[in-house]
Amino acid sequence: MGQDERFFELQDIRKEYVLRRSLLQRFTRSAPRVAAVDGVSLSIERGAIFGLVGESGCGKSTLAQIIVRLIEPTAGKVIYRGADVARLKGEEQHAFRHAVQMVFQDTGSSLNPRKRIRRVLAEALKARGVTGAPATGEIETLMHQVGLDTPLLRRFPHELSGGQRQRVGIARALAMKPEVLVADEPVSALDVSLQGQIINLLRDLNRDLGLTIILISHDLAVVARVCTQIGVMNAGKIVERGSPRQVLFHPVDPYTRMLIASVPRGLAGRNRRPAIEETGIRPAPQLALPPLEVTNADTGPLSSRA
Amino acid sequence: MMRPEPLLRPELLRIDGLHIAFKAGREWRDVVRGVDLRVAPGEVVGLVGESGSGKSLTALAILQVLPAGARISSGRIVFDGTDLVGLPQRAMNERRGRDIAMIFQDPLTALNPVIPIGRQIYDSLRTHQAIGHKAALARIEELLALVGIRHPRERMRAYPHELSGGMRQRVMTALAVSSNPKLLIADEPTTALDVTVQAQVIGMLDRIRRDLGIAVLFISHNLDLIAEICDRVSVMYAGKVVESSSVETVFEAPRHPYTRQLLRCIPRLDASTGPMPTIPGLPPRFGADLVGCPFAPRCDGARDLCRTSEPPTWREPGHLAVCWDAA
Repeated sequence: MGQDERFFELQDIRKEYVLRRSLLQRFTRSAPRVAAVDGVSLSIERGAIFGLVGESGCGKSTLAQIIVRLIEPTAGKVIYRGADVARLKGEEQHAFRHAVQMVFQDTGSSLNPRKRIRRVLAEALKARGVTGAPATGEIETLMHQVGLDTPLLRRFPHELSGGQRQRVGIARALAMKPEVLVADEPVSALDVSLQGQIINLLRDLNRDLGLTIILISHDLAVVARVCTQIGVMNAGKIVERGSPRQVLFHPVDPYTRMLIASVPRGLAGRNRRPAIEETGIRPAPQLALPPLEVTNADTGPLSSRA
Repeated sequence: MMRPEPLLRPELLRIDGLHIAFKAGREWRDVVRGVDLRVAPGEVVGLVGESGSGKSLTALAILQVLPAGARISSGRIVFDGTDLVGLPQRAMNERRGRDIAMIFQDPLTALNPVIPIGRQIYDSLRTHQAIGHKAALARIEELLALVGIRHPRERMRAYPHELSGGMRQRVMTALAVSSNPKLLIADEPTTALDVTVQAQVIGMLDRIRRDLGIAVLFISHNLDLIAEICDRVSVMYAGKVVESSSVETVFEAPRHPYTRQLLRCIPRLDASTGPMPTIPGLPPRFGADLVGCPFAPRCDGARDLCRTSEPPTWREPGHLAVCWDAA
């Protein structure tokens, strides 16, 4: 148990971006800064499905990128199995890169359009040193695990549906035999009737392989359905944490309450819309970001996926 | 809230047997396969369906702005007593933007990025109405206030990129209703917005259509959202309306299995756990050859008959469903 509590831990993570400097600020080396992630501490247990919910600009995707070490935090530590991830070197760093995998929202751009599915998976396996006949066998196992038929291996990504592509993205992550899967909005590009298929696949992988999953989504209802723990993020901070039941039925933070109140609820929600507008419920101020600067230049090469 | 019985009201928009085809190689293939739709004055009708169901194409056909390579192959779109199909370009231009306005999912593509928003509304006002300079300025302020923009006088000078997504959607709505249209087509107007902003924009839309008495055709993939603001709803699947009735009936007593299964799939904020309900399989590909009921391969109650013969339309006053087992 003691070991498990330190399985994956974020300690006071901050990620700041520098806004455009004036000439004077360049000389004085001071500059306006904005914190995309503003002091997040979290502990995720092995085998958990942890849900991170928030709206655009709340910092959830930045946090995801810090978790998989696509970007480095300005301050704070990521602890994996008791070790500070930033200090890992050589073999250990390699192992961490394999152990923590990511699945993206937009499979149209995260899969190479010119490679057939077989090659996508073969290259992932090659990174783990698996080639030849064992690779062929493992590719079939992976396809089976994510619920795809092997004839699809001959296809290119654009010949698959969105749901099938998302399954390929998951298979590619599984090829690394990960312990943690970070899924950033894996179903928000999919139709409602298909979302459940992917979410259920993640559940199955969690149950069958013991995979720890960090599910990032703007959809509170989806997250509440499958996660064991939920963190609600707003303006770079985790404003609420708890089990789905606690968060849905006993929310403490005003932002969480507003988020819950905003979700459409079918017939039960008829004639309540004017009330929402008139009571003047408004989202907490988002990061004071000038819309273009930070997302373009300062988040680095992965910003387009953020 | 009491509303007059929809069927007794006169019709503002009536679509009969609308077919829209795309050119595939040498032949034209129907992707919208016989849509019927009614909208009464002041009524809010929802059109729900998943991607590729043909709901947006239907909307674009009303305005006669189908994408290149698509055409109306048959059917009638009667608006205010005139069939819009085959109407001369000039006559259509008069109605487009004046009698029928449209708002889109992405306001940035609909707003001109290099012209301040006030100026864009100004141009629209002066084009569609006999209105003087001063009166137009006053009207812009009024419109911006109507869609819930604070400090309208200052905001008039803002460019679209200076506004948040929710604000842009409000501006686009102001622009759309500036000509006092009889029908507003809203195509996924909140899909790109955060859920908290969506709630506000829907509140705004609901309020202005009450204030102005505009009929709205509200297109969305989100049934729960449609239920909140629509009077009636038509559910589309594979290019056809498969069920249509009042929102209450569709939610409480759906007759089409697609509607039933779709309602089950919506993730709700309740205590349910366990696997999420899904609809197995995939919708048919755009323009695919369809035999029998197109939903049969995914339907939990499909019989042999469903796979071979096209289902009949079951009707009851104010309710229709296209299914062998609707009755």
